[in-house]
Amino acid sequence: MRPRENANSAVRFLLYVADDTQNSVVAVNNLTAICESYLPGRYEIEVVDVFKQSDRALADHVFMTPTLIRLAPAPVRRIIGTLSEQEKVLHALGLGPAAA
Amino acid sequence: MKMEKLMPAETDNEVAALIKTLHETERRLEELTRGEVDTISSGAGQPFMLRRAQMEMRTSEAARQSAILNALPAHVALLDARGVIVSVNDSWAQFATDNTPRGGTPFGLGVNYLEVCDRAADAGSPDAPQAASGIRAVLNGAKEFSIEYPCHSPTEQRWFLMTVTPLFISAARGALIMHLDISGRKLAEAGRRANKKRLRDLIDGLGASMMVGLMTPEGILVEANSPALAAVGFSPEEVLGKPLVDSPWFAYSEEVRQQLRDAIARGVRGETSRYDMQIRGGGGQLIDVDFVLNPVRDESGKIVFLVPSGNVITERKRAETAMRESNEKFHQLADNITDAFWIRSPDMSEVQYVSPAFEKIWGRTVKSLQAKPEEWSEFIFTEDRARVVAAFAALSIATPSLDIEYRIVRADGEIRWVRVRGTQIRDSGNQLIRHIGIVTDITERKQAETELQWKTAFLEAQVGSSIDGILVVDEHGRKILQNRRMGELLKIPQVLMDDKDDEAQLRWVSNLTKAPARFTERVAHLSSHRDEIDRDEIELKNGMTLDRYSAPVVGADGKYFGRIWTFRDITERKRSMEALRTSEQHFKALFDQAAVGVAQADVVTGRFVQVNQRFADILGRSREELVHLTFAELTHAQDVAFDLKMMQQLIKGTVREYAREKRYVRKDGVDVWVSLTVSAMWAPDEPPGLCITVVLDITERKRLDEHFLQAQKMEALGQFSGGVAHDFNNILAAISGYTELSQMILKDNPEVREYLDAVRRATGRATDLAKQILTFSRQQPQERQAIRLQRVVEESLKLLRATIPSTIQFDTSIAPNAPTVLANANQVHQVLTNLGVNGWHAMQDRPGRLQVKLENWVVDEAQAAVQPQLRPGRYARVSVSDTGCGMDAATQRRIFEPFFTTKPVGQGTGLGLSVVHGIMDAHDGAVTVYSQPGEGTVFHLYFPADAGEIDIGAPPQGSTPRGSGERVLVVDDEEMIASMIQKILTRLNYAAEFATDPTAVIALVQADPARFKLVISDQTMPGMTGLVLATRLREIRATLPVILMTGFSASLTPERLEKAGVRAVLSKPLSVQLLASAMDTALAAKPPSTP
Repeated sequence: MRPRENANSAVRFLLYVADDTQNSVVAVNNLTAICESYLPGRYEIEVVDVFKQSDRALADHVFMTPTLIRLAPAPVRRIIGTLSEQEKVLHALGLGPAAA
Repeated sequence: MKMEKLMPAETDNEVAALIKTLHETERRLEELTRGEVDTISSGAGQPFMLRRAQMEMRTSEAARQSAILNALPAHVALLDARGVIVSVNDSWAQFATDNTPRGGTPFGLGVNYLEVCDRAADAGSPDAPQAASGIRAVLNGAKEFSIEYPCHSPTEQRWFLMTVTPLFISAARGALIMHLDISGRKLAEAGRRANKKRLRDLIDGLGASMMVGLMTPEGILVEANSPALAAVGFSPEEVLGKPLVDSPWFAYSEEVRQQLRDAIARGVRGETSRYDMQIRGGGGQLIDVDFVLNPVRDESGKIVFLVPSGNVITERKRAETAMRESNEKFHQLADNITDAFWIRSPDMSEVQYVSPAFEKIWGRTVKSLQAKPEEWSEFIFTEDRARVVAAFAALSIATPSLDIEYRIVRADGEIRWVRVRGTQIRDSGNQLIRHIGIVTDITERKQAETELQWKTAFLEAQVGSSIDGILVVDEHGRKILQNRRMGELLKIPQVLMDDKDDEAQLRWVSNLTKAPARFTERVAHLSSHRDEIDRDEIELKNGMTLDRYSAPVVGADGKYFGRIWTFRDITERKRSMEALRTSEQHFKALFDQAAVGVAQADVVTGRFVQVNQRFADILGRSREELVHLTFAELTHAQDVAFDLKMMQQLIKGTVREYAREKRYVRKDGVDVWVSLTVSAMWAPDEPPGLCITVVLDITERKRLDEHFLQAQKMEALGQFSGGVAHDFNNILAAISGYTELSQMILKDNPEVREYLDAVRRATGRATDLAKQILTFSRQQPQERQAIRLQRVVEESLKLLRATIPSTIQFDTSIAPNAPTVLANANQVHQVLTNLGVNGWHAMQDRPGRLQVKLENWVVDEAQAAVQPQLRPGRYARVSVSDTGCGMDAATQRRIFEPFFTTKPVGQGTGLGLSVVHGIMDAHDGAVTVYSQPGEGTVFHLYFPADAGEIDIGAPPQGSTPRGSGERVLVVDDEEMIASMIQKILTRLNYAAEFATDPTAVIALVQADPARFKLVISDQTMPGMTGLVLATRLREIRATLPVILMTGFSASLTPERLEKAGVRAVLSKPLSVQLLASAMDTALAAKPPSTP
């Protein structure tokens, strides 16, 4: 996926996936849905296919897909999985009603 | 498998253990990640997809592909290498179910499709074997195969396209079979084919006369029906695919092609064109067609085709069309026109149709006519009835129609004019089938016509009979009326006469005129000035003159209708006026410039009314002066009485004209002789009021007459005095001779000798006088020689100068080149002396000038005319002028008469000038005189120039020659003279004898011819002249010299003298000296040769 236009926004995500495998597709969909709900206009997502850029996954120490890395704001957070449990994901990312 | 053989057996356990570990690991990962992870990576970063994720992906891919296949309209099946169906899409499954014959095996999954096809082939399906072999070929490596085949169901016709595409499944060969239902396309194609065929049949079946084609909007012919092709005899290939304009139908004419191009252009715009034209057939013949070009649009409205069609127009078609149109027109017309139209049965008894207009014209109902058709003739005005009925009765095959005008009586009694055009209608067998007729109410027209006929007849009669050319134009310059005369007068070509527009004719007429610009300008002026009446004279180039009149034509209400132009030929009138003027001018010129004087005078008062210039010139007065004078005041006093007497007779009418010669007196007092003719001018029944006098100046003639009279008088005087002088001479000769003899004898008596000398001198003077008389009368023999006058004139002047006192001044002018003349020097001397002395006397001892001039002179015709004694030619002219008292005209006329003298008695002989006159006559010359009283006088002497030798002969001089005793004979009828001469000759030492009878002399000489050496004879003798004697003597002895003596010798011409052998002529009285010389010469000379 291409970066969102708002390059200077506070939240930048890097999502490692594997081809069109089921979990990866679900993870992309879930992440996009969360960002649109909670960070409209303030997020950036980069999706990386580990079959195509395996050296980059190695550099980022990604051993499983799908893996979401929150690059900004610091600190960097990693979430592995399809991001289907939304409350936990929001909590991990510091988003959601509780956080707000 | 070979791979199993390559692996060592001891590794099997380890592999089995690793696989177990792998499965355990995977199971544990799944548990830990709850299945949310798809891949894991090795330490080297190589991702490894979990089996579950791989399964999920495979399932997902298959589902997607199935969805795609199922979505295709085609029936798709996947065959393995043996031809077994391994996969089908939904539509194949459905198709297989639907199409499996009852009890048969559905060709679904697991069925060998090749076997299905083979079975179908066995069952008779025509395409099945081909399909089966195609599939096998692809399974065996062929690229692709397709076939269209029908597969008709009981309910519908179907076609399929089967395509077989090679496929590799897990390294095994297979094939993808796809059946596509193409029934729609097939049906459409078949439909199109059928449509096309139907269209073709349709257009071909339109008949041989209907040619149809189809072309693209670009004009390319793509279709043509059989009649069209047949017309040119071409195959489709020869015309299709090519522009229609270049086709043989159209290419024969550029015009036709252009028409077609235009039609195509309209067609492309969506318009239909239709026109009649000719196309060219194969045999070159032209075929008339009703050509139509229609555009054809597709569903979107775009023009996709143009359909040209040509319907051959045959005679039948024309007739049909005409008939149809005719029928339509009939109904339109018959029911609507104001003219009535009827159709009757052949025998006229039945009215089959009559149009509604009948009721209006006749004032009767159609029904009434139809009820009683026979009544039609009763409606005709009585006077016209028989004529009309007869005209209808006369209709026949030869005369099938009539056009007749007659009157009808309406129901209300009104009489109307109708015009009936009736025609018999016959069928093809010439059988009369009906009568038709058209009736027009022409009452108004008739009335207008009658009125107009009158007006027109009147106008035309007036215009047509006019000698003027008449043209009437309306306000726009269009000709309304023009008569024939107009065309004749102006030579207008008929085509211009017929042209309604006046413009061309105007140009024509204007070009005929001498001043076209002026003519055109006047016409233009008048056309813009409507009220003006204008008249002009127009001169044509052909010499004609026209009186052009133009006036507006205005109606009673003042409306301007146009303009009338009339042209009248006034050439003759102009010519006669011109002629009259010319005639008057001529007469005036004649009157003014006539060579005769013309005067008009009042017969009663004698006053001049009108005189011409010549008359004034003759009278030396101006014309103005003369008209205040009477003829009596101008006429010489001696001549007036006769005129006055004649005038009375003119008034009484007893004399109408008279002629006379009379004298007028000029203003300067000089008389003018005129020949006069006076005629009375008569007015009917009235006494003459005026007379015409024609006057010819005859002064000159009168003068010539006087010259003539003078000459005659001189001649008479000469004759008379010559005769006297001759006798006188003889007497003087005797006196002189005897005196000399006496002196010879009385030598010793001085006293008597002295007296005798006195006698001799007196005799000498008398002799001179007689000689002068003879000279004047030209009876003195002349001895003329070619001489130059210069010396003679000079010598004469010397002598005159010595004689005339010095109070008289001499002026001398001598031209050295004055011509030689044939003259006698002595006589010239005498002439000059006489004139010089006369001039001196005229100056009467007062101081004066005497001028003598010798010059070259040429007498021209003019001078010769007024001086008849002179002939044209060269002269030496000697002028002698004085400054003396001069002479009046009367004196001048008489000065040359002998014995006329103005001097006191005793002072002059009156012979001087008459001698001059005689000498000049003898020299073939003339003497003229000019003088005015108190102004002096000039005499001109004219000597004709001589072309001969100049010989200044010296007068004979020296001692008197003497004879040597020669015997000579003297003959004279007067014995006294003869004796005297004989004595003189004896004294001169001649042996002289004398005789008085010439006849005796002849006898004497005959007797002895040699007796005398010479004979000297008188000329004038009774019985025989000296000349005759000489001739006779010559006959006897040719060499005998003869000398003649004469005092009167007019008849002695040199020719006659020579012929007679006369050696010399001596004039009497004889001078001894001359006699001696003549004797000596005659005897010394050789005798003349004998002829």
